[in-house]
Amino acid sequence: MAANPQHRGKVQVIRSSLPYQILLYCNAWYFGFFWIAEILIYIFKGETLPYPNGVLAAEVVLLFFLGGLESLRIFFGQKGNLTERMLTVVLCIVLSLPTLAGILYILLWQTYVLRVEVILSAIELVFIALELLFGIISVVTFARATPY
Amino acid sequence: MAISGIVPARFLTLIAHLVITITIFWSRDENVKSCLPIQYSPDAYTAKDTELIVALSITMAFFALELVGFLSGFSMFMYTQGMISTAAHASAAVTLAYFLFDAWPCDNYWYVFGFCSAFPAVTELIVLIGVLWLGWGP
Repeated sequence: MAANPQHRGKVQVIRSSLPYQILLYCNAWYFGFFWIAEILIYIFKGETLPYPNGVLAAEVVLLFFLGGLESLRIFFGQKGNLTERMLTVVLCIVLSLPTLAGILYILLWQTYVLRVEVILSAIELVFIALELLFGIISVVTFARATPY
Repeated sequence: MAISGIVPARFLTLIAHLVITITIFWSRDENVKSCLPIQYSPDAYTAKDTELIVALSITMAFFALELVGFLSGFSMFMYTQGMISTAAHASAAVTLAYFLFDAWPCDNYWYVFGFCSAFPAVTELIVLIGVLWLGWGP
């Protein structure tokens, strides 16, 4: 919010949310780590635990969907926050809901839930919760008419 | 200043160490048993178990300190602290994986704690004090 004398009375206001951006950036890296860990865990579970027919394949397909969904969500969040566009961030918030359902499935409703999956999903849920909070704050900020 | 690769590396090694520490919290039983003699009393078990719980709890407190210092931006772009933190937590994650899978005696945990949790936490504290009261900057 610096008043630069060369701007001749115009003040530049930055409305992008820095905490939101940091959360999304860290979440992108963490989700990559989470996704690779889950693939390895599914390989382990497939080899050592008994599954009914087709269930393991369904869970792995769900993991791939979750990967695509989360990538889109984080992309829209980052771009919407940086370009200060409300609708893009709203899209990110809307995409958080199926992502939340997917992560809750991994945490609670899978056929076999390992301890380490509980920890990994819990960390991801904390990320999503904080991003929902900051996303809503960002939507409110961007939706306001220009403050001057 | 451009975001170098050390920032995500530091964050991910911190999270990996955190995940393994919480896993050890939940499966301490074998580690406690392997540092007791073959015939042990319930009191000896409780004493060693409490000691391991204390070590793990202090580790979690140090994690909180480091995460606060990192995510709030105090030390996110200080590359020396980033290198120390990344090296310490990466070696901790590997060592604790051995600790978990090979059921190491619980006394060995203090060594991992000292080098890989306490040391980066202390340097992080020094960075925080430096930025807040000594005017250290970019």
